[in-house]
Amino acid sequence: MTTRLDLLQGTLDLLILRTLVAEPRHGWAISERIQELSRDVLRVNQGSLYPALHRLEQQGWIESEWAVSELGRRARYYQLTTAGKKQLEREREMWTQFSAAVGRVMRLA
Amino acid sequence: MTLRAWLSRVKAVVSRSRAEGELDDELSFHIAMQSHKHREAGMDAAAAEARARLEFGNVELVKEDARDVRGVRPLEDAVQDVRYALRSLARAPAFALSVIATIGIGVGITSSAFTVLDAYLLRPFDVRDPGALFSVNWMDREGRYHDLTRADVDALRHANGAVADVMTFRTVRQRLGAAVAAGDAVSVNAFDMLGVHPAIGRMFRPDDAALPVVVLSHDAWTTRFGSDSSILGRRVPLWGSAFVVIGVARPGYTGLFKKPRDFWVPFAAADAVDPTRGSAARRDDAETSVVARLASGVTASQARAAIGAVLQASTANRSDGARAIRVSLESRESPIASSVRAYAQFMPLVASFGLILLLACANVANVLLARGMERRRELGIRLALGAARARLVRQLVTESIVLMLPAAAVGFGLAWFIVTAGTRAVFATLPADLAPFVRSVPLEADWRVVVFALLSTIGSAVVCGLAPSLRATRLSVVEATRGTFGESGQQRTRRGALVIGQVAASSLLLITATILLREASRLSRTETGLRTSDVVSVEPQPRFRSAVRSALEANRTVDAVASSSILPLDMKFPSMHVMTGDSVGGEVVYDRVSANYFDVLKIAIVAGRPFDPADEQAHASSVIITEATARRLWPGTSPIGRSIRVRTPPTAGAPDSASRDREVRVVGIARDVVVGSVADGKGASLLYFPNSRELEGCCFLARVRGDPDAAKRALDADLDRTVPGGVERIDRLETLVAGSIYPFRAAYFVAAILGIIALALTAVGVYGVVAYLIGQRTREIGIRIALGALTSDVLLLTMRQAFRQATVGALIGCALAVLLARVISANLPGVPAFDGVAFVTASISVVAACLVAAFVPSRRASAIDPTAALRHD
Repeated sequence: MTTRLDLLQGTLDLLILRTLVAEPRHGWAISERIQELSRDVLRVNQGSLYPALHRLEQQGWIESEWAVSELGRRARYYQLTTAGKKQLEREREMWTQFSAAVGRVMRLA
Repeated sequence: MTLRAWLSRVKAVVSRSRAEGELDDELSFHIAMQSHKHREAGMDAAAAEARARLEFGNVELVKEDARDVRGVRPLEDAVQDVRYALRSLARAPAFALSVIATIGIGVGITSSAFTVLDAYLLRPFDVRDPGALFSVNWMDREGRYHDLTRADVDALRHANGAVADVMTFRTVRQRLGAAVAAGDAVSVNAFDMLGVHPAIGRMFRPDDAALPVVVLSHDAWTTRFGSDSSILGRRVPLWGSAFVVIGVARPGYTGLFKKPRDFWVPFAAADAVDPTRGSAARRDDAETSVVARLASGVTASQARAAIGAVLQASTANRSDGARAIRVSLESRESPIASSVRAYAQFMPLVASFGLILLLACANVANVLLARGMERRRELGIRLALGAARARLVRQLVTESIVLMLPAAAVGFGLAWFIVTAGTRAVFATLPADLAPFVRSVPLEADWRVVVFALLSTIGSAVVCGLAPSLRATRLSVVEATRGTFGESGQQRTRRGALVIGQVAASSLLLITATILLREASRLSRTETGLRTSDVVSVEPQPRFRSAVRSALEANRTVDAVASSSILPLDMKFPSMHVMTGDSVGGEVVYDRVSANYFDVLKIAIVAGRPFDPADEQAHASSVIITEATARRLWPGTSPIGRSIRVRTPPTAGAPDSASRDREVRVVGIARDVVVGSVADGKGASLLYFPNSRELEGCCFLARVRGDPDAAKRALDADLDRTVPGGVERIDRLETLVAGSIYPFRAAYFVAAILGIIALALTAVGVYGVVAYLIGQRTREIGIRIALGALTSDVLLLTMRQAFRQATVGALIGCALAVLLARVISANLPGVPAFDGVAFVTASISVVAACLVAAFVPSRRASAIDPTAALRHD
């Protein structure tokens, strides 16, 4: 079993926004997608996922819609808004700078 | 937060059940997907479901967080709390009713005080922009106050734009529709300036200035003329001349003063017929009272400066001491101009009525505290389950607000009742002859009082609810889990402090009330030193004076007629500066009386002689002084035959007239009488000068035969027939005495009622606390009884504490009352600085009431059945 990491503070929003770039997804699919792409290293805590989704919606970066899912049940699908796309760009930029900076410190210190 | 965000929140609360349903759906879908995934991986359905739930964690917690994100928590919580409160109150209706009644009484009493305060101090007059209206007068360098001359008024109207308009006025009193009426002679621009329109007819026009026309107040029209619309064009007699009624002012306007006005006449028209207004009053340099409307945007201090400049210019040619030095503006926004002093004067009213509400709050806080203790188990469980303390406190405070809201309605109803019944009681208990002279500003319990009642209720709810909820939610984990909640010593102390505070406050009120009541009864027994029972005072219109005197002398019921320049017991005695040969002196009030004055009023001349007819010659230089004056001016020696130098003050309205010194000789000493208010008692210095026929004063004093009331009525009817319109006022002196005592008696009566209510509230509070404590100690008491304690032992156990608290409270109350009594006696000369009887009786009553209140539940405690008690809890 691989080591699992808790998400760094503030990165959850970035990851959620990123997973919604391709297509609208519901909450479960978002957490599965993050887990899958991170090869099971990143686990999304449900306790923070849903509050985060509601917060992002409140801020107008994503919007939700009820639709019938693959199980034949009604599910809430989230999709990026235009403002959300811009926000994603900003957060991606900040993340790149942040990780590069941390990397430099680790290499050179 | 933007309006839209708020709207969305409100919508979220309204559609709360839908949002909650969606959240449920969303989360259960997640779990369904997860368990589906586990089934795909080969687990059986039940295990997959269980695993998915486990992985998800606490669903409720996630929901709470999600709700937090939506930002509707506070609102949702409030709705939930209100529902919860309603449910829990429905379960305890007796508790709810007692709290509502207690707070209702407190709020009602406070709101009735507010109604009075509002009517006099806070509510602006119903005229256009009342905030810009100011009375204007000015002070000269010698400290004399002046009104404005006609030239000043013109100068102000045209000066530097600070003043938009100026009206002049003069208060007058006349008979109107068979009863005395108060009115104003005003400049004809007054109603335009104030924006007051007619209900019927018209108001003054510029060309009415010198015409005998009159505008009635709506109230006078209704009560004196039966709302008769044919009143327009009718002639009514004023100053013995006919004035034509041209209009009735709209309801709600009764002038700009404390005492509502019944009619208005043009200033110049009134001057033309009013005999009290000599040619001096009509001169251009005569001064009149004015009210100015400041131009929009001009502040009072800017206006003061601008008006000051005008007045300094207009007085620049006068002698040095007569020049304007300071202008004073007094707001005419409400009946009493709001100022620090005005608020200070109302403070005793506000404080004593507010104290009643505080007492009610203390009672309720105690009950809530007890209830909170009983609910500690419930609260403990909720705390243990992770409820935030702030959330519980909020819930408990919400509960107390919900609980007390109906008290606002009760309080408002009570305030309305108190104000209505109180006004009626005042008019019912007033000496009947005085009732027409007493006017109050309209006291209305309207929306302002509703708002006040609501706010004071919510305030009380928070005050009462906060402390008990903080206390009840402060639980130790041990206690909460063990399920036993003892009361710590500190808590008991606090409850004790509450009771002691209550006892102190009610002792303070009761002691003060007793002091004032004793003063009231002393006042009603006061000897005025005057024979009042069968003497009738008659104030003639000046130009009918001799006709009235002849009519009085011809009347068969009249024994003797004296005259005086001042009505006895009037507050408005003039004063002059006197100096003896030994340079002892000071300001002394004086009166001018006829030779038989002392005989008619039965004032004994203790030394020397009374005035004789020879003294009644003009410029006679004899004076009779009172005993008090003799003691003051010639301590230890006889003043008969001595002379004093008196200085008459400059004639009012003629600032340049010189003061005149005159030498007079003391011919007699008269017994002391009450001068001015009865409350001041006897013993003020007073000089009597002889009257002359030419300088006859304001009024006649007629001693009548037979039943004085009937005689007075007969005299009134006779004078009305023989000298129609010649008499301004006719009263029995007895009535005037009663009238001068009345305000004190009324105020002291109110104080007594407040004291009794305070006492009742305190007794109820003590009862509640003792009953609660006994409930808490049931088991202990049971054990004591089982071990052989006697009824008296149990009584002593519970009563001892009540006695201790009552005594401490009463002592604190006494200490506070000593301070308060000093203040009272400094303001009301008759009241002693320390009235031992009042202190002792009032504090004994308070302690006794507390003991009785404690005794009732204590008796019950001594009847506790030990077997039942030991099974208890």
